[in-house]
Amino acid sequence: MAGDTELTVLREVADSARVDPGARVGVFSTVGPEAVVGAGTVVGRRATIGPRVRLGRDNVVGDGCVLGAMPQDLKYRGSPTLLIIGDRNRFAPDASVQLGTEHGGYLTRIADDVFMDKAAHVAHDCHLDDKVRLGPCVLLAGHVRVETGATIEESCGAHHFTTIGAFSRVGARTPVRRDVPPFAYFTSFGFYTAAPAPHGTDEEGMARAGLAEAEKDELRRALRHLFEDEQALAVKVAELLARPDLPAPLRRLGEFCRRSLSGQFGRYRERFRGRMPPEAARHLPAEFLAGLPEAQREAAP
Amino acid sequence: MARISPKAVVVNPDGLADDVEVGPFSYVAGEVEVGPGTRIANGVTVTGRTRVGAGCWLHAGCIVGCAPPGRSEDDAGPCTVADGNVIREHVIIEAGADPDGEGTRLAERNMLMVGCQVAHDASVAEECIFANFTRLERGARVERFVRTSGFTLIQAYATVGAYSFTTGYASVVTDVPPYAIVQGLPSRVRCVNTENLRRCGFDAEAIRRIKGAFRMLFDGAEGPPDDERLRAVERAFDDEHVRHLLDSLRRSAASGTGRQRQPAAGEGR
Repeated sequence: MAGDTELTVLREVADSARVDPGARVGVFSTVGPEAVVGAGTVVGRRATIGPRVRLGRDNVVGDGCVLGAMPQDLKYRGSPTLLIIGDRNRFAPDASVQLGTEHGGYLTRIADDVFMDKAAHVAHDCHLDDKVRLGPCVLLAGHVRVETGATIEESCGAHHFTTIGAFSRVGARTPVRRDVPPFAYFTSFGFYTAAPAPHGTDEEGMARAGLAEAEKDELRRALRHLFEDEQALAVKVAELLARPDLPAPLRRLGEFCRRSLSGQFGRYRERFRGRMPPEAARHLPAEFLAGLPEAQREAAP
Repeated sequence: MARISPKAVVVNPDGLADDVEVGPFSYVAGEVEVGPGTRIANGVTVTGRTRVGAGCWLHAGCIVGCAPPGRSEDDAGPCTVADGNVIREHVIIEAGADPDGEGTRLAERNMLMVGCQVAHDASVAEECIFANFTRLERGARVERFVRTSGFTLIQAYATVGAYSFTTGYASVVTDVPPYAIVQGLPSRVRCVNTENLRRCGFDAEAIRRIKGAFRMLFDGAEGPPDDERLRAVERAFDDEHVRHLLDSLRRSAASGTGRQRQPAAGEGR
């Protein structure tokens, strides 16, 4: 594509967009006003980079992708919200990511080394950490947080305000209506007949996290103990966190479960409804944050 | 005059109202008519005998009025998108299959989220919201103020009653009664969609009567309610909404398939 300058007429790049000379934009693609496309990034054919999208370095945007579309939230009033995408991410064809909304923290964020498969969809105000993998047709509703290294298999739908824990795996076609603990394998085995729940550990996730064998064994036992019968989950989580010299992965699991229990409907992030989530406050550019009304600048505790 | 990007292809600009916007790399075919105030984003295809009303918004990459599978555009029926519809990215709306038929129809002020599909000869009444990847198969009908969750499948010729709600992954095989929340494969009535009724201006007394009728009709019942239950509800409630519910259930039961729009053998295409 670098040599086909004669095809420039077949692209639409806004005057105020900044496309690095080392980036490439395919034919029939558009780059909106104030968008930034970093060096080494390749935008395929028929793709749409919306207004104010910030794409980092060495990303690959597949054919027909729409990054930075208007949120599908009826409360969105057209403010200049942002989509910030880091480096080395891969977007397969027809993947779509939306801008943030005013009441959700103004920001949708994708960190580094994320892979979104075909037609996967990330809605407004979601936050995806490093090395997250979304399968084909995965659907993340608004305000979802996916932590580092999590894998979501094909055609899963995640409810608003859920958190998918680090290095966990959600099985194919599983509806996620509550938080998924880190390192867990979350599925419903017997679609429509059983409520989705954690079923042991995700071995691949633990390997990706680089855990030692002793830590893996501890996690297997802890997840089995916590979720084989969830009736006294709060008590079991408190007992886990009270253990002296608790290994870091178990502390992470215990803290995560405690946070989820403190939310509503098993979703910790429900507490951020209508408020600035801490991730947005942390990652919004300082000049953007400074331009917001004071009441909206403060992150929820 | 319509504002058409020099990088768009509009075969017949006279079919576009004065203030229509057409983005780059969009294609608008010859017989298409577009009403005032409609915005067509980049990479959109509007083709066939399609009429798009006023104040619509067609987002990037959607396709409206394409021929149904196995048919050419010359042999396809009409496609009507009324005023105020929002068609999001990657949505596909097929034209009708019968050149002389009514075709595929969307009434006013619907919102179809990313990746929805509306097959040929389906019809959608006004004020509906379809979440991502909702799919309407051929001849399906959705009545007014319906909301769907992600991955809902409405099978061919099924009717989704007014003010109802389908939960995520619901597979609607037979008609959904009005006012209901349905869930599962095949979908079954779970309860009354009280939140939507409240938002749509139903008063507390009307909702109470609808809930009472649902309890009599569906509590402990396997499958659709029989005629005896329907008559008992009719005697118990003198209410226009309950009468609408009973009429709908009777029409579905009379079809024999649970789908009031199902054409008789040999009819339909």
